[in-house]
Amino acid sequence: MPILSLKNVAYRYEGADKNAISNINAEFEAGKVYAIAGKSGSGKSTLLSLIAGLDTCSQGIIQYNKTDLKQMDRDAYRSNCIGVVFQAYNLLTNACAVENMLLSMYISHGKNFNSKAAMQQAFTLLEKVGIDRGKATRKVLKLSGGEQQRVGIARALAHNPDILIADEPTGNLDNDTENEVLKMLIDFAHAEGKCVIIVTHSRKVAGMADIQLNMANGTLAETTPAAA
Amino acid sequence: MFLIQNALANLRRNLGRNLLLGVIIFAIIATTAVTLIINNTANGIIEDYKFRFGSRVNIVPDTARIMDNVLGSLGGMLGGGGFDRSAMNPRVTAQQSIAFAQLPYVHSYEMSAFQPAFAPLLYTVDGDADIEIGGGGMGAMLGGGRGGNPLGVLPEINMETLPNLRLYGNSWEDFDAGLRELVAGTFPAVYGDVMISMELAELNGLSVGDVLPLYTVSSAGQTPREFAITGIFFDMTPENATGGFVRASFLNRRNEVLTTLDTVITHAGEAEAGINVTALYYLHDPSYLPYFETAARNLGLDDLLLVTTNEAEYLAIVEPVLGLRNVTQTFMVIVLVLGGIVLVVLASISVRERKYEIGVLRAMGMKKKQLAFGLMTEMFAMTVVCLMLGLTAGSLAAQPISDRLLAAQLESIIPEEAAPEAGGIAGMLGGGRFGQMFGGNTIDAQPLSELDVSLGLQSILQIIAISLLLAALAGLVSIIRITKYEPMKILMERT
Repeated sequence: MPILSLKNVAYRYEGADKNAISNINAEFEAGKVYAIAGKSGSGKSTLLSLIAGLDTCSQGIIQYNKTDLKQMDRDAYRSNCIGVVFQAYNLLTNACAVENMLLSMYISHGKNFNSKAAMQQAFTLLEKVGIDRGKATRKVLKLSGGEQQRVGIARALAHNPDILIADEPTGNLDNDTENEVLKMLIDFAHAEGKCVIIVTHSRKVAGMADIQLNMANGTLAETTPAAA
Repeated sequence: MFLIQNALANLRRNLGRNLLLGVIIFAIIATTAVTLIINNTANGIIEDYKFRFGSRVNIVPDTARIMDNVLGSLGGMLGGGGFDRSAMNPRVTAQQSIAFAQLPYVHSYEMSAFQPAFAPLLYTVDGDADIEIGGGGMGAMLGGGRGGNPLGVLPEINMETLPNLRLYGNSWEDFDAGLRELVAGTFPAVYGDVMISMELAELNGLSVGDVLPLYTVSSAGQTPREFAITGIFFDMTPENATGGFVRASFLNRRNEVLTTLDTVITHAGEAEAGINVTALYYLHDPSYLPYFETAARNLGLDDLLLVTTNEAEYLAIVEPVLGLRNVTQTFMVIVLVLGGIVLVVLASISVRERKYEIGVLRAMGMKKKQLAFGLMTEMFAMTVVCLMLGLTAGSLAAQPISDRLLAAQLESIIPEEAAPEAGGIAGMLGGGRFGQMFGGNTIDAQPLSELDVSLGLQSILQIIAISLLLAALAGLVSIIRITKYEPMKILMERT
């Protein structure tokens, strides 16, 4: 059963004369890794923002567990159901790594937030992505690009979402770290039964996905891993 | 709780920007504190003087008209007619004094009453001298009795039963001054209670609990009354109003019988004269004077009496303080308006600079109300710190600033030559016996040259309210901007 399904989804930016994406139909299941590949300007980021609940589609329906996103509290959807790893990290630069994590957890847990337990969990997750305690308490601006990306991934996983979307998650990482991060994302899908959607230019990254989707001229087509 | 902790941490995280905002808020609060402290102190003083001088009613003879009447009467005498004594002797009756106090324009009043009394069965201090005096000139002497209402006139009395005591209602000023002291019993509390001097008590073997029989004297005649002695006082006041030049029991202060006001004035309605009521009226506001006068005229106040307040004196005293208050009020309005605008602009810029942060938080699912709460908490926390510093700085700076401003105000006032007010001759003689008798006033009051400002509760509350309002205003601007932000747009702009 798909955890996320897109039916005839289209989106047009304000003032634009044509759709950025149109007629998108896709289904995403838990426990699988999806890769959405495509050239720059093909509509990948637009699709990602719609799936992430950052915006609403102009036409069509996006369903999360058979519920139309338009009927849901999108803030709650973003804070509980989905985690996003941004290409530009989008961390709070004047806070440290662990504070970024705690904020994400607080937003997700609300009144049930326990700062001590959350702090412990944040350090554990950061260590998992290779950020030790010393770096975890440093302002993120003082971390390298790769380290910031890891913090971004840890933050996206912090509230244990059902769906993880990653926009070029390994774009700024070296080979070894890229492999580690990809392994972590694949483990998150396969071991923990989550749905991972990776938007990428990299054939290598796309090749590691269970299902590859190709975005071209605002439309989405499924391709087999072999064909990719 | 976490949101509050995060908001406080944000103050530290954005230290530079918050310092700038804090300096502006501090400056506004400190300036407002100075102006409010000065303003509230000035207001208090103005209100106090307004009440003490501007609202205190004086009923004084219209000397110009009296002089005209006297000249007219003299002309009549020369023409063979009689001299009209009433034309020289306008007076407020006891009944009028009491009725004026009940007028709705009167905020409060101080009233005392005096009535001659005759006690044939009592020995009085200087009683032996009464026999020597006989009837000669007694009536005149009675008229100049101790501080009594000069407008009142004693009735014609039977010279064989001259008053030898004086009954005073609500006359306790010598006790306040420490010249008299209660040595036995209690102060009169209810109708019929009296207290007498130790000398009078000893002469007659009277003590607390005894009955004091005497006749009160008025135009209605001699009324036999009995009083209960509740107290005996030790008297250190000068014994004789004439300094011993004329000895008479009626003039001796040891023969004063002190009682409650109602004990004396209850019988005022029975007499046209004889009961002298001294009253000071304080109006709710000096502007009520015309209404008070109209009502008093309706109650029969003589046309030869003028009704005035010491408003000119009040204005002369408080003029520099009024000027100071105007300066501080104007300054405060300017500071609040300009400061408010600067604060709103800075808060707006601050939110723009934090647009990315807001976009990230919104992308993570933080609700707008949570963001708004966080921003408000930051603003209020900063304001509380600035409030404490501003209050301290303001209260320290208020006195020297007040001194400088007041000095400038005093310099700008051209000293006006003291001029007689409505009291006319009485006013010109102000301070002399005649002047005091008629309650005359002179504008010889010096303007206030010192103002002891202090931080009162009212000022603190006002400063807190203004600070919180400013913080709320700045926070509101931030919140309004936040509601227009969409996370995707912010993050796309960033990318």
